[in-house]
Amino acid sequence: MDKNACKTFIKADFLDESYKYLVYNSNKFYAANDERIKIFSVKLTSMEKTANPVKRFVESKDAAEIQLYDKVKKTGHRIHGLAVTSDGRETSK
Amino acid sequence: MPGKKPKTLPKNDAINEFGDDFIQVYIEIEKQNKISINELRIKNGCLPPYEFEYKFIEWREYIHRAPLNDPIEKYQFVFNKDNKHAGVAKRQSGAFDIYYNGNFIDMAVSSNDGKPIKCANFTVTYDRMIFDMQKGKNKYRVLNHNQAFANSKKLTGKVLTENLFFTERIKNSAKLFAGILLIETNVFVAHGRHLSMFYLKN
Repeated sequence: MDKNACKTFIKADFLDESYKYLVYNSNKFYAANDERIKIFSVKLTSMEKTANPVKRFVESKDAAEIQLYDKVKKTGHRIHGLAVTSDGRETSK
Repeated sequence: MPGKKPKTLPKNDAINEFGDDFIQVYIEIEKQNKISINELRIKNGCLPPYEFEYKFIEWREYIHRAPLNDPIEKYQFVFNKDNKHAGVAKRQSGAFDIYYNGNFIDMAVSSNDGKPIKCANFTVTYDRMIFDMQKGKNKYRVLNHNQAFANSKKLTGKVLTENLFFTERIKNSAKLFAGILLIETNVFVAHGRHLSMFYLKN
């Protein structure tokens, strides 16, 4: 793969290397590591207005955070993936 | 696509009948080491500010099992062409669980002694599951989605390489070979910037 093919980078200082999962839904990104989910948005429309779009960074909005502990009230549970479906409940048919 | 600039991200809205955004979150339940599939529903999720409500809703009924204390080390899943979820969770011991459409299907056990069957590795493709049993003549076993492991079959007709699992997973998405041409007893295969030639008689 051509390493120069990527021209725009999302700068997200609030994500460290522990975040392994990422999905996009309804104008928001969801990133997760083992125990928490961070939700953030990125303004991508400015890409078109930029005269020189080569290797520019797009600032992302600060992230909101959901701790898995909020659900289970204890440690030990771990996140193993995120997914977006058109409507998950319809798949039971 | 070469020469095309993305104008925006593709439309990808999963919103329920109440207007809440939702995604699915796959959570391993402590000690039971079983996957619980949840919908994370976000209400008023316009960011910022972050004054939104959220809740986790179990996608299917979660059925408890006796503690195993055998943590999941790899969970892989796909949504197949019918939009059905299919996944496999391999635990540290090598034992594994099969999931389909959000439901737990099977923990593979031996029909002889009832002990868990163990695998070294596995991959879930968009039409089947492949297990590396790492021993015996039937080193690789293949299983359709929505089946118990007892229905698995020996994998046949495959050129087995170290990249087998990866290429199986992307085979319907990536065009690995641009062209194949047969000239007399020579086969030419184009891939990337390379052209390989195979001599049929050998």
